[in-house]
Amino acid sequence: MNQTILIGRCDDDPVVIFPFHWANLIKEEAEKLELNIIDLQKENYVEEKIKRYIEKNNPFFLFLNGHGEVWCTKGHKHLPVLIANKNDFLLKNKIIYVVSCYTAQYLGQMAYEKGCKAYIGYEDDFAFVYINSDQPLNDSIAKIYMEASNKIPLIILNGGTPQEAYTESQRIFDKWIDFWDKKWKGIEKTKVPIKVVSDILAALITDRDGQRLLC
Amino acid sequence: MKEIQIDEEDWEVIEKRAEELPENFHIGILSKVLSKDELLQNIHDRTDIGEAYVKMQLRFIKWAANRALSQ
Repeated sequence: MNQTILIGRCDDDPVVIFPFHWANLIKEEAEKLELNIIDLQKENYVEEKIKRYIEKNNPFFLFLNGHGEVWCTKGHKHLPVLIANKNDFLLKNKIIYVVSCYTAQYLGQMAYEKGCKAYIGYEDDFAFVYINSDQPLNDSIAKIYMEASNKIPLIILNGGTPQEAYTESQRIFDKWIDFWDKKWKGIEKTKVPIKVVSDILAALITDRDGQRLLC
Repeated sequence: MKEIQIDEEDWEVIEKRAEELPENFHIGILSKVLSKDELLQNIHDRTDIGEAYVKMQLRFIKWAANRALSQ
């Protein structure tokens, strides 16, 4: 089995900086497992470079963060990186997880039809609530979304199947929905204002229900 | 996911509700980040991002209602 993974991530606005930092934990896990890691960051996370690195290194797994549209993932300066019916063939025989809005709607479908082994992404918005923008890894609210999202690459890197990764991520979303539901109903106490609790739940439900596995 | 239709009353209710959020509230949607003030502006202006937020809220309300009915 090819032991290379490719991470693509950008940090050029206050929202993508969260998944940018979440990916550090995946990189650490990959290092622990002694996998080869291609980490395309910032100005290196662009269409031309991802093509070159995929063709040269043939990674078995791609983990991409950034903004997205129905037809593309976006990288540095919000420029398209993987594009439906242009370079989606690059995903043939690969597993990919994309933390972006909308890409599972069309790009994921097109990649799957061109032989992508498994495409995991979101067909609606990927959203999260946070309180402290200075702490992407430690924000007490944002990290619940990180846990559910990061579970997918962690399982894939450790030899799990895309189905197992998807199922476990869904289970974690359910776990946090139950947790915050109890706060929202007043069964358990919280210092978080109730209006924020309902937003936390709204984002969790949107992410869980919009997460798709195509394989 | 099932497409959610938003009527004018929905916009108004969600806007009113968002006015009560604390000032340090932020929501990141992987097409934009919103502080409370930005969120209110986007809802008020009926932008795409405002629509995304309102749809999230309506999805949540529907989920909560279904849950209440099933219990």
